[in-house]
Amino acid sequence: MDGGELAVSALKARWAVAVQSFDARFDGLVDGRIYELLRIGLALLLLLRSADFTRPWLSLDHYEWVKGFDFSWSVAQSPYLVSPLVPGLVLGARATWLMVRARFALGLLLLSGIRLRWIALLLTLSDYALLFADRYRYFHHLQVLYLAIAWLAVSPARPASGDDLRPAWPLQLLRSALLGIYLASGTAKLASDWWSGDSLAVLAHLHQMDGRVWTWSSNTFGFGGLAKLVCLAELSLVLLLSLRATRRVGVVLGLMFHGLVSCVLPVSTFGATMALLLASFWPARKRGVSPPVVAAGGAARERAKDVAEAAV
Amino acid sequence: MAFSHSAAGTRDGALALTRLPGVRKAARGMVDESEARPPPRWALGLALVFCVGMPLLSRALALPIGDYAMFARIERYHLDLSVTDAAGTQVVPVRSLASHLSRDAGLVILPAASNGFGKDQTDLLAGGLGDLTRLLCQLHPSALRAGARLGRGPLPRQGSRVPAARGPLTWTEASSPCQR
Repeated sequence: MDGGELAVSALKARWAVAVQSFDARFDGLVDGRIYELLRIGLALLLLLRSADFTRPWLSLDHYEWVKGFDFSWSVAQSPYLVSPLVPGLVLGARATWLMVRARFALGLLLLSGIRLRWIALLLTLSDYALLFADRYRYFHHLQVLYLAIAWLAVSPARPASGDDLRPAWPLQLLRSALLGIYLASGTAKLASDWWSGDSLAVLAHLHQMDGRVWTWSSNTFGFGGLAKLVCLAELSLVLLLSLRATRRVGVVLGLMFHGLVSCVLPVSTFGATMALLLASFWPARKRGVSPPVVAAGGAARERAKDVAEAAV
Repeated sequence: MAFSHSAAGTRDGALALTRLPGVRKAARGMVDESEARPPPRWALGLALVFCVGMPLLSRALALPIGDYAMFARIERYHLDLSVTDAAGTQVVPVRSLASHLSRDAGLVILPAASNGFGKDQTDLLAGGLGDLTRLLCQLHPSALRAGARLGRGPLPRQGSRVPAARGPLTWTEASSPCQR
């Protein structure tokens, strides 16, 4: 074997190890209760964000601009500005009236857990249709919420019997999406405007930030110090949540981080959504466990085989 | 030969049927094997790239959607509107559009009469200048042409008590002829 062949076989071996490592990231099972927690939590958040039905007894940040159903038709006079984010996606007054209500009803169905995947898919379509029909409706916190609901469309159903163990791969995808968000948000703050504290100063002025947490932290660290801390916290979360040994520490720190941010900034449901999604990092994967669903799948295959043989 | 072909087809068909979500749901207690196993490697790889890479790609392409820059991206923006008719060019006050805008459009466009803040908002507005000029044409039937000019600039420095402090703006313009 010459040097070239040796190099090729070494590369092949490395590739095989990388592939094996990739596969291992998505293998295994998790406690199925995490999927139930995420479904119920996301459904509640969507309902809270889509209408102001708690206004009489609980005031939320977004009630400042959401009256009735969110995205309800709100143009006072014709002609009106038509500016969809997706060209051609234009919803008139009647279609909008119908969709905001249908979306709320779908949210209730999502809460009930009936036909989870279909409901999640329909909700995703209606959410994005409403969001993209007017370019000015876009908010990052809505994008996070809608993407998480879209994820429910691929989450596994509860097994009919036995232990509630479900495949881990959908959870791993959700975790990677969360890491992507922290990475994007943290790296965006590596800009001079943020690092110097100028952006935070403007934010403080625009949102009239006050309260004990804000007063103490801004007095202690200053705008620049606080801005750097926020950036480092987001980038640290990427690292802490990525490593198995520090994952749960990352979850606790992440919850504290979002709690503090929600205390000082009007971030609507963003903090609650991120806190809920952080829970996806909590359960440990059980690897090398024979999934009960596979046995059931085997039974299904046998049944299908019987059908085929009967047809012959 | 025809017999075996038919048998294979039936078997495949029956197996495929058990993979349909409706059929799976209908048979309580029966969960498809494909659900327990991860999807093909390529599909997982694509999903992973979408999850982790999309925010960074959005930023690289300067798209405000899904870049999750959150509050890091703030800049100042200002909007000028005008229509040109037989008598010449006239300035249209941004606030005169208020009743023709949705709640969400109003929250982004109306502050631009003086100074709005937020880079995502500026990007969204920059992408919709053509739509604004079309609305101007509708609102001013005698107009021959409508124009929109969006200025964006850096934040005021710390210590500047008024965030609307003047500074250099970079302008993007859009204009469209009005059909009569």
